[in-house]
Amino acid sequence: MLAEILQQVINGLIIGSTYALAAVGLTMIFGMMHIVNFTHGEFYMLGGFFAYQLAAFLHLNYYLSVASAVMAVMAVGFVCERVLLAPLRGKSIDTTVLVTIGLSIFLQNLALLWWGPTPKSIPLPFSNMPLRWGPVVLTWSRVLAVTVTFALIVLVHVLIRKSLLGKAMRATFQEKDSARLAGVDVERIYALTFTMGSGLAAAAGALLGSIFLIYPAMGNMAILKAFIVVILGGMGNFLGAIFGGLILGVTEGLGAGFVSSGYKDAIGFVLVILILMFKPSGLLGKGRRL
Amino acid sequence: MKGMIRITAIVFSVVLLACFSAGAQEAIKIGVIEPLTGPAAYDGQSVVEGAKMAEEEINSKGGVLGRPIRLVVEDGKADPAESVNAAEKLLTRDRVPVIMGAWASSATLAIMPVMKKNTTPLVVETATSLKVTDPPGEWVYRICSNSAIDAMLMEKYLVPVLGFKKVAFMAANNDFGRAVVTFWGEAVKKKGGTVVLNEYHAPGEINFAPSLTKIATSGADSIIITSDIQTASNIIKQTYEMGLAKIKRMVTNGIPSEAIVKLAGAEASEGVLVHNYWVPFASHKGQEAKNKQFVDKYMAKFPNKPVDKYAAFGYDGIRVIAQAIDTARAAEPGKIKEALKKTKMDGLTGNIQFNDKNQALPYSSVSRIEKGKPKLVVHLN
Repeated sequence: MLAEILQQVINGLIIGSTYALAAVGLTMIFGMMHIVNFTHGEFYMLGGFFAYQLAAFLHLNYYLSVASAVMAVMAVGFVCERVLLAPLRGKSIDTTVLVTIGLSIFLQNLALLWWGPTPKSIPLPFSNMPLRWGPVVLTWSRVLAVTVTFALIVLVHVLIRKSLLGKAMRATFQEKDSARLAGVDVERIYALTFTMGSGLAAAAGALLGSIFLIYPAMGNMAILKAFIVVILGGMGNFLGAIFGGLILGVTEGLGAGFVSSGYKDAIGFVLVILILMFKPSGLLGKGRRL
Repeated sequence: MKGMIRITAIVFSVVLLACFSAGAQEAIKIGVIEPLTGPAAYDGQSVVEGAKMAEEEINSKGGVLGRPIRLVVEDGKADPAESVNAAEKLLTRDRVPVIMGAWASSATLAIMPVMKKNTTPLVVETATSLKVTDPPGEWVYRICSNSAIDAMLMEKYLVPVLGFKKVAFMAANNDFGRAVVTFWGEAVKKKGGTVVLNEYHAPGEINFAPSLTKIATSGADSIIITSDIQTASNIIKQTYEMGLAKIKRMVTNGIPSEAIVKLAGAEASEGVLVHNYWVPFASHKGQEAKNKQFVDKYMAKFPNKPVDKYAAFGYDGIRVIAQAIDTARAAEPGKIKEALKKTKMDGLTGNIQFNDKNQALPYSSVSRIEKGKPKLVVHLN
């Protein structure tokens, strides 16, 4: 019984950390830029597909494929931000929502046309043999996913808290005009933030895609979970996104294991509803803090 | 002079018009509803490919009743609501006299009332829930098997021969999955086995760690997996990754072994048993030449896809329909329905004849994946 709980919790933490990764990217865009980015799921999906294309067709080293895929998606994100979102700066939130929904439909169907609906498997350089760690069983791709997620989140946190760029970002999102007066190139910050957020989504997509399979609609569930986690943790709240992701992952695992696997997703969402009933601004939300 | 030009123009147009209406024989439309997108897209595509092969073959031999047949394919997404939309489209916009579809049991059950209301026959090619032919509908004809028949055929092997004594079922949470759990569960219990767990998953689920963890600690000695190709392969992959490869694993309803190996990897698929319908590597007696011909043609047309039972059922389904239209001497729903009742065809998937429940009895067998390749274990009928 204990072994089962432990295994469910560990699996939940692993999946939860990837939810956290996608959510951190989204919270940067949603919470800091106040852009409801429905395309986030497609950046996640493209991360998986670019990694697949590089690894399976160009036979690039797996780790290099994942890194390059992330960079490629960041480039796509940059272009989207400059071309579609920058001209809409200051317009109502509905406009940006419509644009990002449209972009998401476009990208998903483009992927469907290009790669077809059949799911694909990213070729891994290592075996997915089960590794026993006491009573718990893991695979290398899951360990990798958790490690990379952790590293990326720490990296982003350090960037935002300790670097000059991070300071500029925080200044811009706190009070745009004062930041401009202080010499910050506000447009550059917006572009950079969006690009970083997309990159994080792509990383989550490539890592999860390596554990499971990739297919054009994979962004749909991912973005739903990411939004839930962002709201659960408090909009714009970094740490909240991390905790929210982990909590959602573990709740799903335990819910599926001990209540019902058919209702796995529902259980996670019910938890979120309950938490929001008692803490409407999210677990760690107190306005807009990073 | 002007008069001459005018007359020539009129005569010319009339001749042209006559040419077009005589030369372009109106094609007989056959509706097809399959999942072209979504988690069952792989499976749906196979059916369409098999159907298209039949279409080509039939048209190359002059079509039916002197007219070519034309498949009108709609994406049902294996979803009940979408399939109903697809059926309505085909029946009202395209006015097809017959439909083959809709791949999934839940979707097929959803379109059956629509077919009845429009008094148009439906040929069921892959859905296996018993409810499709029980109670029998006069407009529904099933060429594929159903879970009750499958369980009956598997009964003497599951527990006594294959040793599935403590079974955990992992099934899609829809009519298809539930039908298998109901009937196969009974088959297990009848021969002294026990059903330890029934784990259902939403179609399209990708993370099975919670269910598999439960199964690992439940004392089950076997897992029976029922889902679409993509999900089933994902489950196989994860059983391996969670250290459950030593437990006996079986995939039901003819999931093609080649696809499992491709998606889950050879390592993960080692030893997996597969309950099959038509398979290219294990022809029933007398079927070898016909199967080889089909396989060769398919591989030439679709080189990147392994041929599977979905293609075979799609192919047989269209041929059954074409034969019925021919017997009926008209592309009319009512007459096609009557002709379907009298179907007698030596198909790829079996000797197709409908019993009093409009149900045919296709071939089935069990195979095992060894070193990435399927090997026949036994023919079930």
